[in-house]
Amino acid sequence: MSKILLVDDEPAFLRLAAAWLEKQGHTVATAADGAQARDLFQQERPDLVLLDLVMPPERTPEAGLALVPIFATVPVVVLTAHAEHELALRAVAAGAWDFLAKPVEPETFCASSSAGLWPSARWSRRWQLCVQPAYRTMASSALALRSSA
Amino acid sequence: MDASTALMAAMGLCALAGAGLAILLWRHGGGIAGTRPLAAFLLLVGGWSVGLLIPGRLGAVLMALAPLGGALFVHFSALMAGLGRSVVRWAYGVGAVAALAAIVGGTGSFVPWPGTGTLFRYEGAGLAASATTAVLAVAGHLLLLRAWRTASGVRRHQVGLVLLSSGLGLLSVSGLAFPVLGIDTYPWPLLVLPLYLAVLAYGVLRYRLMAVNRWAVRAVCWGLLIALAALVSALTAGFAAERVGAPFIWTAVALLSGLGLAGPVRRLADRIVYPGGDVTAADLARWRQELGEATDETALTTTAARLLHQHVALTGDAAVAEFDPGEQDVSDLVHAPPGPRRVAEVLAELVAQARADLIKRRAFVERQRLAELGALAATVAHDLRNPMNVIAMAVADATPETRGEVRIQLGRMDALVRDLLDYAKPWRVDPAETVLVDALPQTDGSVTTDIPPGLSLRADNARLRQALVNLLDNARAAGDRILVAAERHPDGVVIDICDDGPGIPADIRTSLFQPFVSRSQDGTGLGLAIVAKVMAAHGGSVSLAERPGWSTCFRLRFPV
Repeated sequence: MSKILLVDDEPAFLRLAAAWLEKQGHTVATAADGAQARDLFQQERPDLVLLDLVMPPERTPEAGLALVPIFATVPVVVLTAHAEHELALRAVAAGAWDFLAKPVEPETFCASSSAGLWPSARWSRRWQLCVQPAYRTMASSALALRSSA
Repeated sequence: MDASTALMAAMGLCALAGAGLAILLWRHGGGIAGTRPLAAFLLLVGGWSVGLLIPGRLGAVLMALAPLGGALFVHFSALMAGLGRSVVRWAYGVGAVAALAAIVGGTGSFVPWPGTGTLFRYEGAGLAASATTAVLAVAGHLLLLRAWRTASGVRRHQVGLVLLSSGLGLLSVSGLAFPVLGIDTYPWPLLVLPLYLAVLAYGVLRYRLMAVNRWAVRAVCWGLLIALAALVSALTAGFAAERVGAPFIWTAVALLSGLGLAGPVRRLADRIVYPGGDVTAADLARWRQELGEATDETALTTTAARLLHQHVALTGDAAVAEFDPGEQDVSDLVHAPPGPRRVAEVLAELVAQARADLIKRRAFVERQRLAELGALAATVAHDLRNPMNVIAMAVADATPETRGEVRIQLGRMDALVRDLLDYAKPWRVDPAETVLVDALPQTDGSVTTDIPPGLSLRADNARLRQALVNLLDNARAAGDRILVAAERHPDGVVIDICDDGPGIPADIRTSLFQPFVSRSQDGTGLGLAIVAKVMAAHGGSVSLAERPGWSTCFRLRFPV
């Protein structure tokens, strides 16, 4: 099965989400901050990264966004408690595959991860790099749909 | 300049001054008793002084008008004294008869006179006319004296000044008594006549038109400086005149002393015209500081009033009882003498500056407060959503019932966090032409709409929808039937959202749009506050309205 790198500064979430993903049959590596995440990304070569944007030591969305391009050779799903339209656009512009607003329903969490793990996702990732403006529009309309639901 | 030109110049100036001052009085003296007859009086004196310059029939006729001037003076004095019309009627009657008699019977003749060429001499009926004028003048003065005795405060000052100027007037016309009495001297008193008119008009306007006081300062200044120059030239006349360049040296001395003394002379003139009106740089600095310490409008007014009273009392004139320093236009204050009024003007300017500063400071504090509130809300939102996220994940394996309940409760918490962010975080609207029906959320059978087809308004689509959703949610929670009605008015679009629920309790009606004042069962307590914020961002408003048949109506007003 696939290997997922889960990055979040909340230990309880790391534990619970890792358990949940492992139950779905994935291998999970967890990191509590950006530096650890970069090391693990080099070591483990995951197929997907689940990334919290606000983490120590900076605790700003900007610091989290700076990590996105580093991991973007694979699909990156951004997780954040700052559910803002503008931030979602910036995450996608930085190369994120998806944008999830906390609190995340376990099903949504899983669905997004699985979708990211489909082989087509990697192609989409490349596609996205070429046709980013179109992708941006898609992402924002998806977000609008979600917030109105 | 020889003596005859001097008289000619004085009389010409008198005619000009009479006309000019009459216009000034007519235009600006509206509120003062006796202004109109005084203006006519000034015109007449001007005409009379012209008559003195034209030997012949016309000059004689102008000279015959003197009793009418006396009658006008009586009229003016009677109005100042607040007396009835019968005196005035008598005065005009007597004056007109005397003037007519003088015109018909001959006023007098221009006789050769030393120094002036010719001078007018009242004779026969003219003499009677001038006697009548004198009687009328005495009557006028008696009236003025009476007014001076009974009046108080500013009015007393005013009448006093007029009486003082009358002294000048009597002095100057006494020049015409020389030919009658056979005194063979140059009629120098006549030269004072223009000054008489100026002082008389000033006496009336001093307390009414602040501008004349500025002119008075200038006039006093120039008068003093010219007198000084005259003194210097008189003292030095002939002194070392044989030396080359002496005139140049003395002129330079006069000029330089004039320049050196201009400042003190100006201050002296200021003190004469504005007694009690001194404001020093130290005063200004202290006032500015004390006014700057005021934290609100009331404190500002109180401080200003205290400063003014302190200052006016210090300089020995406590006549300012009713003064509102908030008034920008202090020239409307007719109850204060010019000195304190000028202090008040200076102070009012400082108050206006202090008020502008206060508003700026308050806006800054408000912006800071909003920024802090926004940052606070963002932090709260972030720090709440993380544990919520953990909870959501923790129940992933629980029973469907538990998960459903947790999902509902998490949804409520998330709604509160979202509303909190919407209320507290600063945001801008991006208005565009929006068709109202399109912005209206999906409605069910309980909602009646009364919206003209195609009605559009300038609004931010998402925020308009948010406001409508909030109001519709409230209406749905309160009643069974809902009405959404919209109308275009000349000044914008009005949308009413009404329900037939129990209505808004009277005790929260005034604070309804504050956060957490009203809340429905499932509401966050921020819905109406957000609606108010949305409307304010559009430059519009939300308020409670009345509509027959509906118990609660919220009215949204969008500007054009």
